[in-house]
Amino acid sequence: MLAALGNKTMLSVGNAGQFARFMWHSMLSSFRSFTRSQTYPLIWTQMLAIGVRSVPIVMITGGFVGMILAVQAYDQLAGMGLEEHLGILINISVVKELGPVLVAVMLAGRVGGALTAELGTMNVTEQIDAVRSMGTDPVVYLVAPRVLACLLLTPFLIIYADLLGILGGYFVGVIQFKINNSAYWSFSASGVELWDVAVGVVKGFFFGGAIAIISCYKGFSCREGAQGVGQACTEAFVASFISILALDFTLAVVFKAIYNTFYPYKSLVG
Amino acid sequence: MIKASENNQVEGGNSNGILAVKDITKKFGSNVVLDDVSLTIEEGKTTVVIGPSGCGKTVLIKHLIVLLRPSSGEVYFRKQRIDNLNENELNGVRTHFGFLFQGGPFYKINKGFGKKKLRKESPQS
Repeated sequence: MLAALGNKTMLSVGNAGQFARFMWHSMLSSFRSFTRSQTYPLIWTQMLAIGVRSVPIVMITGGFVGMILAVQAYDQLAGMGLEEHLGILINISVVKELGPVLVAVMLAGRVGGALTAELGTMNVTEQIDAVRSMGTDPVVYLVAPRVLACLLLTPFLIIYADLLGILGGYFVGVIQFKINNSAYWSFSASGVELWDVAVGVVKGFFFGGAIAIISCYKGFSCREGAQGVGQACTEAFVASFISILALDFTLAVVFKAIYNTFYPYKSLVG
Repeated sequence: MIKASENNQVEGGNSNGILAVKDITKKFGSNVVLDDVSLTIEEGKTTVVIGPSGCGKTVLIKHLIVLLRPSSGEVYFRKQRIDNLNENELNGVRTHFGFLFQGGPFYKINKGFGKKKLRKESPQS
């Protein structure tokens, strides 16, 4: 039993080391790809597949999040006579947390699964070996464009989701529940700061990078056959989901610390 | 599994060899696929590796351009050892080879992206 535990531990440590090396190589290659114009066509292609084609589902996600929040929170606020504050609650929740996290989870399923399946299939059919045999680094050719596309477009997708979430909350709160329109927006504007929006958008960089790197790694390291590719897709989503939650918690703590440090100087900036 | 013969050669060695693998062993976990195998490929000659399905032919051939690294042993190209090179250095070596995979995956590398431009999508021998 001890030997089995030892073997499992060594395997886990080995896998963690492999992933760390892959992550470093991917990040370095992605950074260098900015300076190589040959990679731009590859990046545009991935941006279309990853970003543009995700817009409809992201907007649907954001819209429903805002509407559901409004439906669930209205009764509690109306009971205290604070229904006009519904806008603050919905908009801060959407732009700071629910928008970024739900968009990231949706992308982990849609985009992450597709990346893992595509690269996993290429792996088991020796296409990645074929790229290597032609003197090209497969991480530079296959992974870097996907990582860059996710890094660059996830924040924009979060902005789309936030917009639809705000509109969804407005539709339910003002149109359905007849909350005063000007009071709704007035309280929202006073409660939601540019910092809140920026935090949500910056989270998108981290979430997008995590989804892309984890999904690409799982594709590169999947086992043989259809079962191996399928298992890799499942593992990629689970790992991406856990990473999103862990990153969200970590970033929440970090941004809170930054805000508390610099908030006293806010009046100097104006 | 491919095993070395008594004289430690799968095929007779020759100083005109352009490619050579020397005493390579390859294991996947506890599964030994190549066991102390040596092979020299002579320039200007056609070398054929024949064996039953699953005996390690593809594993052996992948070692020639270090798509797989041996568990032990050495790989030489034009008398230069290549199995201990990193991937960046190997990219330069691999441009001297054409490799046709079993499934025949052809990859149209964007113009100038790889070290070597592909002029047409055709089998490379």
